[in-house]
Parts: sequence; structure tokens; C-alpha cells
Amino acid sequence: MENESPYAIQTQSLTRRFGEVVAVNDLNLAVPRGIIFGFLGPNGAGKSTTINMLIGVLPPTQGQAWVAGFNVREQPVEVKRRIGVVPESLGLYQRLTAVEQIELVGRLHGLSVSEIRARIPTLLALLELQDKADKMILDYSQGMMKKTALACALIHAPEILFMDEPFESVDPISTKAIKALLRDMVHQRGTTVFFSTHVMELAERFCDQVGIINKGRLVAMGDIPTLRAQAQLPADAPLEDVFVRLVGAESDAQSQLGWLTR
Amino acid sequence: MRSSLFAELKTLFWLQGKLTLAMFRSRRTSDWFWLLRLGLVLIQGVFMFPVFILMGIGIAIGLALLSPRAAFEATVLGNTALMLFWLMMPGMYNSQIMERFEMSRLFPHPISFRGIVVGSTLMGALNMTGLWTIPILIGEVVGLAWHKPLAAPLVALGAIPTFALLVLAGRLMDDFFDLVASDRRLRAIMLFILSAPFIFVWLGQYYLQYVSHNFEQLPAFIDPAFAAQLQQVRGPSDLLEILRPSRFLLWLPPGWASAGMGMIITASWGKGLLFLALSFGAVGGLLWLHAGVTRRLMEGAALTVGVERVRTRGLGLTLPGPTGFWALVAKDWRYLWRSPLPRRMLFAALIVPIVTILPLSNFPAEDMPPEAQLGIPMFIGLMIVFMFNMMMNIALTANYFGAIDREGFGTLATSVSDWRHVLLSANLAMFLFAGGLSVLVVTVVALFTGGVATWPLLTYIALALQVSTTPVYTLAAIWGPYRIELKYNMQSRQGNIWGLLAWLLGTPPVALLVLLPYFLWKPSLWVTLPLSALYSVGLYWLTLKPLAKLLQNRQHIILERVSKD
Repeated sequence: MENESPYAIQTQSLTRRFGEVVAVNDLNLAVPRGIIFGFLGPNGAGKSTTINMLIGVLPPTQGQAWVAGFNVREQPVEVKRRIGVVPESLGLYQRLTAVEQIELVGRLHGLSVSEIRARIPTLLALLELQDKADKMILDYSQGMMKKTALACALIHAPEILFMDEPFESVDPISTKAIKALLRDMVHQRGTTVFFSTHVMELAERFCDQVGIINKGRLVAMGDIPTLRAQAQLPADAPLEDVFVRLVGAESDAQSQLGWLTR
Repeated sequence: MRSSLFAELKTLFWLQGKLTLAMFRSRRTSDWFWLLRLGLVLIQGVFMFPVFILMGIGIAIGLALLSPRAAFEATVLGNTALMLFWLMMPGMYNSQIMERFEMSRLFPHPISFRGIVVGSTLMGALNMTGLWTIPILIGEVVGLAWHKPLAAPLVALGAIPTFALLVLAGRLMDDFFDLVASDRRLRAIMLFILSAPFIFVWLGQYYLQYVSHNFEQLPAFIDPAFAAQLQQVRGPSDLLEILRPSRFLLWLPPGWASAGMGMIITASWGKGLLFLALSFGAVGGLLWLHAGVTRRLMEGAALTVGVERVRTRGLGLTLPGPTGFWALVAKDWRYLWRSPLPRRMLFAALIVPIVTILPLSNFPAEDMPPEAQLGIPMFIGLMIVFMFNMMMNIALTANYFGAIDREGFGTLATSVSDWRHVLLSANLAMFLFAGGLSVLVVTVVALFTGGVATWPLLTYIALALQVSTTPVYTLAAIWGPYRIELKYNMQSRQGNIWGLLAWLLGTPPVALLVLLPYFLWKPSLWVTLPLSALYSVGLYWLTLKPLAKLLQNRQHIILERVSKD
């Protein structure tokens, strides 16, 4: 696979087993460059495992994955140079300050200290972290930690951004600012954003394409109108209904909850 | 943006420096507090580093004063002890003091495999243990070279693999801890295996005290020929030469490196060089092992979807009284067994009586009057019961919400539970747990001291003490809760001063009501024993409501303190 691949992310029969549990099963993804891609699925569907394989911290049991044109298994460092990651477990050093943590990631990406120091204040201002920038991360709220992880993911202006539930616990003002920035990065610079979420409204309004995973298998992929058609729902059907139909989660559980609704 | 190995190492050094300095950071911004901490840091700095250097000088002088053979033996012994310490170190990290240099946090970033392996090894040498190991090794080099100055370069060369072996051993233990990070049972097993040599040495000396009825003579199990040799010992050099610990320790890697350093001065040049080569080989082997584990970690060996399953068995009975109360009791009981802290108490229940009884077993009781001799098992038993009660309750009851409930306290705070039920349930679970362990302790005491007759009274005292001291310990739990860091076997640095005060306040009444009559006029126990039971239960009953009220008023403070460090 060449670096000029039209796809930012591509997988071929990607599978990951943990003992007898198949967390991701025969996943075939092709995410074009320069789009915002939402990766949806119920809890335990395999979203985080997929992201961990794509960012090169978990090898697949079977199959291949290419990110930015590089094979994740064979050239993990090349992949990591080109991506920014907001992982599920944020992986921050608790006794560093936000500035130090961001500087660490910038240094690991080979940026010069002067460049890092020029970039940090703008990121902190965007994420409204300036006032707490010199406090240790262990004193941060969950939302502030997430924003710090996001700043770390952005400091080196990555080609591809992987984000696991990026807006969870983040306040609406920062969420709006981050979304605007990500859109600009995608449209002006051609960055690819790959993120997992449970929030259907966010995926519907924010994503160019969506992939739905359930029990480790990709059940649908494409833009929202394509998914609606696939689910055989009307053109104005909300993504939530599309998701429920495709995932097959319309169970009879509700009928058994009469004690709660009557 | 391409990083070289040098640039990666530079960044890792920078990170290690920041983490080390963060040790001195305060979470409070008050100028006074900052000044106080600065003062403490300066004092630490002024005292710590000269102490390390003095330690090195002391070792150099000590080895120089010994005979060459004894200096070599002392070096082998010292380096093996150092190795044990380095192996234990990862389990002794206190996240409250210094954050671990956790490789896994760097994996999502573009750092090369080589950079991680080399960097993590070098960073392993830069912790506090590394800082005091270096002067010790320099001291060893100087002390050994004193005997044969011409061999100094080779002795110094031998110190390099010695240090590298220590650092790599510590590093590998760190790797293994990272590998089993998600499995607390494996972590506990590893900690036990690591601490086993120290426990054996510790218990071994008690055993020696137990079997040596006359300290002027050597224990009977020592081989007579060897004992005769030991009788000839005139100084430390003689002792080390006769004991020759290197006989056994040369089988271990730190022994090889020490032999590389020391055999050269005992005129065994050939053997010394051979051991030197062997120890360099061992360094290569450990580095290879570290690289292997690092590769496994980088490939996500520590990432699992596995969850620890636990068995939940109900009694299948519908107990009388409020259902909510029994739900709380079930929660407290399960939590007590699933939390690692109470399990450590189980271990203490066996160890405390043994380490107390064995040294006291040589007490020269023959010189005492017969009545006094009869009181010895009771005296020992009481000491142990009081000590165990203190240990158990300061650790658990006096910080119940910070040690057991932790985040789960939020469920209680947002529920409609009666706060009296919350306390009653926690105290009942603790009573059953502590009571059970106390009976075990008392039984061990009765068996070891031969004072089986003391069993009923000691058991009664243990249980009464548990009931009567519970209110003050509970008050401490409500007033001064603090979150305990359970990972890596460590507790918070802030001790529970409230728990200690509770012990001082809670213990005397029962002690007086039982002990004074026992030692002064036993028949009065018929009155004072029921009185002490009445006091214990009455005190508990009277204080339950005010304590529940206090708990209700302080629930937000408790939740804040136990949920986040």
C-alpha cells in the first residue's frame, strides 16, 4: 500500500480476539482522507478495540490495517508520527501540569521547544484551560483532563485524529469551539477525523460519514442518507432510529417494563 | 519531525526530571505551605545526599578494614541484599510521592522501540534507589581496591555490570508489574513472592530466638564441626570467612557481578575475569528480556477485555427487619472480602501473634513466683489482643469510607438509606470480620503459650473491645476520612491520627473493667464482665444516633475526600 492511498484509514478483515471473546470480527473499513468519520456502536461493540488497533497499540489477531498509507503492524512509528490520539484511558501523567504534558507530547513528536511553546497558549485558550495550565492534572475534572488530552493530540497538527468519545464530559462552550476547529482542519488542511461516540445527534450533525459496529462486526457504513436507505427508513428519519434498526436492538424489553411505564 | 534516539532519550530525561520534581509539588497554593515545603525539601537535600556519600565512605572503610577474603564475602552479601531491594522496589512505589515512569503511557506516541527500551532502562537508574546505590558501589570499589590497588581498574569495571544488573532487575520487575497491571490477584502473588525472602529472614530471626534458650551457645541444629569453627571467631573478618556466604550467593547473578569485582583482590584473577564476563553476559540477557517484555507490552499484552469475575452467593434466606439494612450488610460483607486491605489483615492475624510470642518465649519465668508465671500467657495474650484490635480498627473501622466504600459512598449518599443502618451495617460487618480474626489470633496465642485456659476470657475481651471501641473509631471515620491508594500495596502518606486518638480513648474502659479485677481479685469478674458488656453495647447504642446524624451532615465532605485523591 502506497502513501498516496486515497484512504486515510483502511482495514482488511481486521479481527481481534481476547481468548474466546471476539472483540472485532472481520472488519473492512475504508475511510477517505479529509472527512469526519463517526464510529458508532453500543457499549462493548468493539469501538475502542478497533481504535487501539488502528493507533498501533494493539496488534490484530488477523487481518491488516493501514493508516495514512502505512501498515499499522509493520510501521507503527510512522503511523504514530501522523496521528493524534485522544484514547479512552487518557494516559496523562497525573503530576505534570497541562503545559508540561502537552510539551511532552510535542517533544515526542520531534517539535522544537520554541515551536511547542508558541503553540501551547493558543491551544489552551481554545480549550479554556489557561487558568488551570499550571495546576497538576490530578486536580483536574474529567472534562479538563479530556481537553488536555485533546490539546496533546493536536499539538503536532496531525494528519489523522483518532478520538474515543472526545466530547464526553466536555462543556458545551469548549465542545462548540473544538468542533469548529476540527471542521476547519478537515476543510482547509485535509485532516481526517475518526471518532467514536454514543451521541447520535452529534454524529448526525457533525460527521460526513458514519460506520456502525455491533458485536465486533461492521453492520453499515456511508453517509447518513445511505444509512437511512439501508435501514429502509424515510429520508427524515433520525440517526437514532437508523442505528437501532441496523443494530437490531429493537427488542421486546420495553414491553416487559410495564411496571415502570404504567 | 523525525526523532533520533538521542532526541528521544533527551525527552525521556526531561520527563523523568519533571516527574522527580513533581514529588515536591504542593497541591495547595498557600504561600506559607509552599514555604514550609521548600524548607522540608532543603532539609531533605542537605541531609539526604551527604548521608548517601557518608554511607559510601563507611562501606569503603569497612571493607578496607576487613581481610581481602572477608571484604569479598561482604561485597557478595551486600550486593545480593541490594538486588533484593531493587526487585522489591516496583512494589514499593508510593504514587503519593513519585509518579511511576510508566512506559505504556508513551506507546501511543511516535517513540521507537529502541528509544523505549534504552530510555526506560536509563530512567530506571535515575530514581532514589539509583541515587543511593551509586555511592554504595563506589564505596565497595574503593574498599576492595584498597587491598590490591593495582586491581582498581578491574574492580571498577566489575561495578558497571553490578549496577546494570540491579537497574535491569528493577526495570524488569516494573515491566512485569505493567504486564499484570489489570490483574490484582497476579499483582498480589508477585508482591508476595518478592517479599518472601524478607519475610523468611524476618521470621527466621524470631525462630532463632525461639530455639536458642541460651544465647551464649549456638542453636543445636548447627553442625558440630561448623559450630566449633564458629566458636573460634575473633572478629568480623573471621566470621565472614567461616560463613562464606558466597558459597550460596555465587549462584545468583548479583553474586557473579560481585565475584567479578572481588575475586580479583583474592588472587583469583582467572576466576574473577570469568565472573566479570559472565556478569556482562547476564546484563545482556536481562536487557534482552526487558526488550522482549517491552515488545509484548507495546503489542498490547496488557490490554485486555477480561474482567475479574467474582462469585456472589446469597444465603437464600429472607431475614427479618428492613430489606435495605440487609442489602447494606451484604454490600459491606462482600466489600470486606473483595478489598485487598482486609486480606492483608488476615495475614497479620497469623503473623502478629507469632512475632510477639516467639521472642517472649525466652522470658526467664523460672525466677518468678508461680502465680506470676501463670499470668504470663494472659499477659502476652492481652498485649496481642490490644495490638491487633488497634491495627485492625485503625486501618479499617477508623477510615471505613476511605478504605472500603471509596467511590461507592456516592451510592449511599444519593440513596434513601437510614444513616443509622449504614453505620450499623458497616460496624456489624466489621464486628464479624474482626471478631473472627480475633478468635483466630487468640487461638494462636493459646496454642503457642500453652495457656488454653485464657482462651475464653481473651476472646471475650477481644469481642467486647471491638464493640466498645467501635463508636470512637466510627467517629474518626466520619471526622477524618482519607482515600487509601490500594494499588501497589501502598497507603496514603497521611496517616489516620483520628484512628490513633480513637484507640487511646476507646480502649481503657473495657481494659479497666476486665483487667483490674482479673489481676487484683478474680471473683469480682462475675460483676465486672457483665458490666463491661453492658458498657460496650450501651455505649454503642447511645452513640449510634448522634453518629448517624453527624454522618448525614458530613456526607458531602466524606464523599469529596474518599472519591478523589
